[in-house]
Amino acid sequence: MRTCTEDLLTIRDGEPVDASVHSQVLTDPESSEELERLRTAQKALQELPELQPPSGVWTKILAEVQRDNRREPKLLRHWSLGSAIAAGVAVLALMLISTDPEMPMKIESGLVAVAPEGGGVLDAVPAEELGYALLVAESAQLERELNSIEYQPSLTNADIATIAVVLEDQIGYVDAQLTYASANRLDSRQTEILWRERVDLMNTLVDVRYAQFQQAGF
Amino acid sequence: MENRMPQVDSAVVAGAQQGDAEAQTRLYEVFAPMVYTIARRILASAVTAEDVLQETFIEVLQKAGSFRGESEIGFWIRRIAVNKCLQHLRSGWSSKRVDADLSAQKYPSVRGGQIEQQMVLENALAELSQTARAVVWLHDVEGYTHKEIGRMMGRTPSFSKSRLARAHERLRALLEDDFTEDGKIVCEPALKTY
Repeated sequence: MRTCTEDLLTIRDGEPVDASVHSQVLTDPESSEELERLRTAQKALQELPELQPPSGVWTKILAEVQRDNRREPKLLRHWSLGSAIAAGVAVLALMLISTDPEMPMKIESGLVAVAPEGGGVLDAVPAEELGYALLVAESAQLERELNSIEYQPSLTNADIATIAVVLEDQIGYVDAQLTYASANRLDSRQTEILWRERVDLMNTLVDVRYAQFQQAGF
Repeated sequence: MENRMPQVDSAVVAGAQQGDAEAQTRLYEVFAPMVYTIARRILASAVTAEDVLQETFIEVLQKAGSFRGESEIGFWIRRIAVNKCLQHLRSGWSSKRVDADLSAQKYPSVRGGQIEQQMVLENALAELSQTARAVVWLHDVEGYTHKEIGRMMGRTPSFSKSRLARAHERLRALLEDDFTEDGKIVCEPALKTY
């Protein structure tokens, strides 16, 4: 009978193992072969190449750190369920009106970052790209915030779940436009409008998810 | 624990702790590939790995002052990165994203040299469950012990051990017949969709 994988891994890793197990591996060719395969697999995993991160991430990190240093606590996150639904509906209504990237969004989110006044690390970012960089950083921060909320799909009510799904679809639609921004020859202003739209949608989605989370009693 | 850790001069660490922009940039240049690699391999998602990279270095910049130098700074950064990865694994949002990403990330079927062999292995790794992938990577590559992995995951060392064993059995099935006697992966992966 072949030694079990757990015992073989224990031997492979040089950890103490029962003497009878050890002798079985030595006398059973199948177990020895499997032990060798486990060593080979580990070596192959260790030899996988290091991956290079995408460019531009460092700029986003610096922008985020600078923004965090300036940002006040997000009291808006403690919305009630009703407020979240109302905000979701309002944002969606405005989104439906404004689907043309040429049309500037009328929503002014109080959470959208502003350019730092005193300079600092963001001085390295060209002025025309600053708004864009901050919006991208804001969007990434909201993604992280969304990820930090426990997902409880079975505990949500239908109305708010529908709003969340529509918001996610809208974000997907904006993402698709951003993906093909170059192909569609959108200029920097149009791209920035799309990023602002994404940030607004993400902000609302985070609020909706927080409301769901609170409703679920967590 | 195998030490594959990149190194930086202590002056760089001290500079980064004092908020020196050049030192912080150097810290990123040296350790970002390590962090990104860990995140990509554990999470199998380029998008989430980039999130982890950002979150990790935001924390590194914000908490550099609290690093007391009891171990190499690389281990401290790696621990932050691993914790971020595990946070993402615990999140339902992350699992939705991973699933979507994996389907778009598949390598084509290939034969031949080392790069192709590595792609076969990457594909097989990505086929594992999230927890299994994390345990395999943390134990077999990063060198964490079962005790450490169990603690980080809020489980027991036995949990980590059994997950590792099952993960290797699964890897074996995924890579069936792909290993030759000298340990090379030789043929097209018979990757199965489960």
